[in-house]
Amino acid sequence: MRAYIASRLVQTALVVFLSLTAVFGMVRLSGDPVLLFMPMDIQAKDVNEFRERLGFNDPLAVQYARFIAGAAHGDFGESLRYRSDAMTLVLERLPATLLLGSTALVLTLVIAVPLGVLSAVRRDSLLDHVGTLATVLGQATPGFWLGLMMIYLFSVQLRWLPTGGRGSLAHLVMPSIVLAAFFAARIARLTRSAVLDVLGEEYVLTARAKGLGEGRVIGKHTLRNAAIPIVTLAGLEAGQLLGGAVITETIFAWPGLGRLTVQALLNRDFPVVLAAVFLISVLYTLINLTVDLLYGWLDPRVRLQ
Amino acid sequence: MRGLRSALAVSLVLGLLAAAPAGAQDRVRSKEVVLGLGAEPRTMLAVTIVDWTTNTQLEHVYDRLLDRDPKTLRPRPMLATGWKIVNDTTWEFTLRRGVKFHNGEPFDAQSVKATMDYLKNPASKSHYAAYWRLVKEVQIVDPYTVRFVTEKPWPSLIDRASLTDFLVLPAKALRELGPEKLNQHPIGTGPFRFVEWKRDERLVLERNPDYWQGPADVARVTFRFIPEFSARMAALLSGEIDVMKDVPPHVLEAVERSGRAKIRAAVSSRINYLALVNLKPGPMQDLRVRRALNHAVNVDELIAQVLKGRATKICGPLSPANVDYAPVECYTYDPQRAAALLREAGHDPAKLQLTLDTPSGRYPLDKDVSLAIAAQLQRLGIKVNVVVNEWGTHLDKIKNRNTGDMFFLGWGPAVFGQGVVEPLFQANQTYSSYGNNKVINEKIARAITIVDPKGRAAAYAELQGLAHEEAAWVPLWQQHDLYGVASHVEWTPRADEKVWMYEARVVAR
Amino acid sequence: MKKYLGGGVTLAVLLVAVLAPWLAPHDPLRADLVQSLRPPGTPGHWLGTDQLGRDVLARVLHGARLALFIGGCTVLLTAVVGGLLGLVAGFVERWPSAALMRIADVQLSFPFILLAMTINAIVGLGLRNIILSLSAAGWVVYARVVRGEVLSVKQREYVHAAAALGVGRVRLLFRHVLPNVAPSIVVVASLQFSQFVVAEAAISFLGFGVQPPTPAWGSMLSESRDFLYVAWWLAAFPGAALALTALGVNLLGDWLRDRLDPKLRV
Repeated sequence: MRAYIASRLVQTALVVFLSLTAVFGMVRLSGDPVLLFMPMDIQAKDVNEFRERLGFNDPLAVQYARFIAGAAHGDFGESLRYRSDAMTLVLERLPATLLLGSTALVLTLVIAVPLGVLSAVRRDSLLDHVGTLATVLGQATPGFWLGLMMIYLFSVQLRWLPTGGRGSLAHLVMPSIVLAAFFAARIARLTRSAVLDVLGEEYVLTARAKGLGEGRVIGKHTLRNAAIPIVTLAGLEAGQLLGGAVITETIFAWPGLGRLTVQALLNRDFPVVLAAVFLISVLYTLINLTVDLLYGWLDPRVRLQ
Repeated sequence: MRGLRSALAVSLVLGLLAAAPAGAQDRVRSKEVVLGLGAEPRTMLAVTIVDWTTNTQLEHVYDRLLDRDPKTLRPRPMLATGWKIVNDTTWEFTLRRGVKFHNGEPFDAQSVKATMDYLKNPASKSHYAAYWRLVKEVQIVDPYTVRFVTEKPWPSLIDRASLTDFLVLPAKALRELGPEKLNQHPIGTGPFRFVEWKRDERLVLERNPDYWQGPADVARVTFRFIPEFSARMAALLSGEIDVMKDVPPHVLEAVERSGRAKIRAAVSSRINYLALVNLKPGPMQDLRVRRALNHAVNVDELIAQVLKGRATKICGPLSPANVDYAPVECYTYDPQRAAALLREAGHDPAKLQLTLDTPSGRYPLDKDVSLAIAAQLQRLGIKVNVVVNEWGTHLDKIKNRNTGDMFFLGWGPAVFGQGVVEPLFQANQTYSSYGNNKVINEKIARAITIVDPKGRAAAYAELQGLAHEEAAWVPLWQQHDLYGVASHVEWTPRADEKVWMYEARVVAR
Repeated sequence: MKKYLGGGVTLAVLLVAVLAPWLAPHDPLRADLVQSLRPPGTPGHWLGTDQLGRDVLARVLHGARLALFIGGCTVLLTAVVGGLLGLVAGFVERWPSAALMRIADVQLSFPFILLAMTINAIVGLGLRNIILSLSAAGWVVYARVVRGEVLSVKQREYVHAAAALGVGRVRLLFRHVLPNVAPSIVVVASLQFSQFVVAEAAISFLGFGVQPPTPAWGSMLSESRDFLYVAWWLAAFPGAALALTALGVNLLGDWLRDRLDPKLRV
């Protein structure tokens, strides 16, 4: 067990290193950063001076080496756009994204799992069909469209909720619903099919034959086994929620990591992009590791591998 | 169980209600104004980074050396009460007495010198060092008189000093606290004092009761950062914010109809134009082709149909809002003449293929204007391929001379001639589309050194005439800055894009 | 029930895509500035016009072509690349398998928009960019699923039997394993299809969408943001078309899965 965790941690470090290298290369490829954060009426020679001073005229290998050396200490340099430390900027945004992401995750599980279970148990009923419709629509609606519609209805017309920003519980409602919508749809469908499969298994028939109440059949025997794929997907989604709340955060002006990353990318603010990718890949691979370990706990057969 | 559930429900509702932000009515009572901006300030230190959003917010905390008159856009006293030219390379400014920084420190010649020293210091990495390059040093004559000594004659120094290019920093605080701390808690002489800055959320300022011009009517200014345009619009319509910039022309009616906000417009000094690239081989290197395009594009129709009348046509590189403006004859919309000119240049309009590069969302309806221009040229049979670029890519392409035959761009605030002709009509400049004209190069080099107002006016008039003859661009228009302003806020926007809540008043309706 | 609804809708969309040039009353690319922002019901423009005067109905109909094209190309690319990688990784196991999983991790952990931007820097904006970007993000699912399937199929008796008979490894892979894994690839493809079409909207939102004036539902939705308060039809109709298509293809995919491989977890 310990060896497994150790080996996975080494792999994590490798993954993070590869991510950073890949991103470093890609972000350099995407264009000249100096242009975007200097005013347009500055003379060419001044722009060059800046480029020189920031080290962008050095050969790529030198820049890369400098970057890796700094990253090893956690120093990702200064943001080109803001002139503050890049990693500090990124870390400041993390709590907000975690708040939004975890609320969305909780919402997803609380709504999607029971919905999926009910759909499976009452298969082909009206509830099932409505549920299917709802989940497919949930996946077919682009997040930004749903968000803007909700803002229009609940903020502009009804004035029940604020249009965005952070502050109170009310600010959390719409962004977490929008973020959760897509994932809830997926998890609901997955739950449904997982439960359906399990319900056909022999041990369930046995449990029913033994006369156990429906609640116990489903609760104790079904869910534990259906949980495996659900947990896997939830783990995957959690990782996506981290970096993927970009659109939701932008629409609702939520001060999170996704929004920062996207702005940094569009502004070619390399240090911030790299710091953000570092953080996200570390968190993501750690989540994957946790999910795999959880998987082992839930399904003893896996442990033997 | 029941009791618990209802208790939860009640507390949820209370929680939702209690923390609701102050509605519009509360803000009228407390005289608070909320502005919705697309981005947060990049720094709270003056004279460090050039950025409209940042400077808009900085101007509430810091003052300029000189301001601009909102109507004539000419320099007028602010922290400096008078100025004169001592000799060719020296400007002298008389400073205002009795002004204090927010920390009590007095404003005097030391502050001015410290500001210039800070921005010229390479360690500050200030963008403004390039703008003030010609200044050799700032001399303190006495506590309320300073001299700017320049390397060469620089008549436009007065223009630079009356923009956000010289917001004054506190000498003592800069020395004692250092730029880092000052960035977190800025101190200036401005009409509002810093309260808090929640990154990516809001910047809050409160009235400075000791402001030298008298305290502002507005008691509290909050800047909220809402990146998505339609969400900002929603915030204006729902009463969450009071001011927003760049309302697109077709939404104006909806805003007015809502009853919550009005549209206030100002003709901006910022210009939009279609650059005709002569810096690389192609049809645009032929003067006749460039003139033909000027006759083929119907600017009036573009303004009327795409921008719903919200733009002011210009015919030369400088607009009337520019202090060095001189009238230039307009190219008339004349498709036949355009076709004739093209044929003269050896091109059959029906077979001609051109490429137009445009950004999207950077300037009002830029993409739609480009598509409309393509449609207009199509009437002559010319096939135009419109390439939409992400902003960074657009700038990259222009710099690397990688765009098509034409590109769409805006420039501003364009309040003085040097700021437009020098960077845009010479081949060695980053964003220029036109160059390699020796005559124009020489005339530009000369014009920027003329101190005598009459001589300067004549020189710039000549340059505008030349640019017009050379048909380097299809000049389009001055943007109209369209602001959505809540009904209870009285404020008139300015042509130089200075959004200053000191000039605003909150009135109960 | 599912198969009728799913199949019917998908067929309808297919027909519309093929027949669009004949069904559409106007040229979807033609701008008519005088007729900008007309509401639905205007004579000659049943679904209204957009800000440049282009007919919405024509653009929505032609959008079906693009949706199918984008979805189809992306699905093909991802299935081939991801499928092959998953096959090899699952079959060979050991380090290729772990390497594949880690590469997938690397890719999933950096922002999708970065992929789009890099591709944009190389190819520029446009259809190629979108298909490449979506594919770069989408191959991972195939790789994972196929690898899992291969791992399980490998254990089956007929594979052991074939190996015992001395069948070469390559032949084993392509003649015996692949045909049994193929159904899962098909199912994943059908479920991913609609997701790609929706993802096109997200890419357009971020600014890397289709070049105008090409009518794609996603970019039409993204552009409609600016006109939300004055022209609801610019968002409603492309959005409805998108949702309907996704619904149809998804239901079809569900039915396929129920028939072909009920145990498949996507």
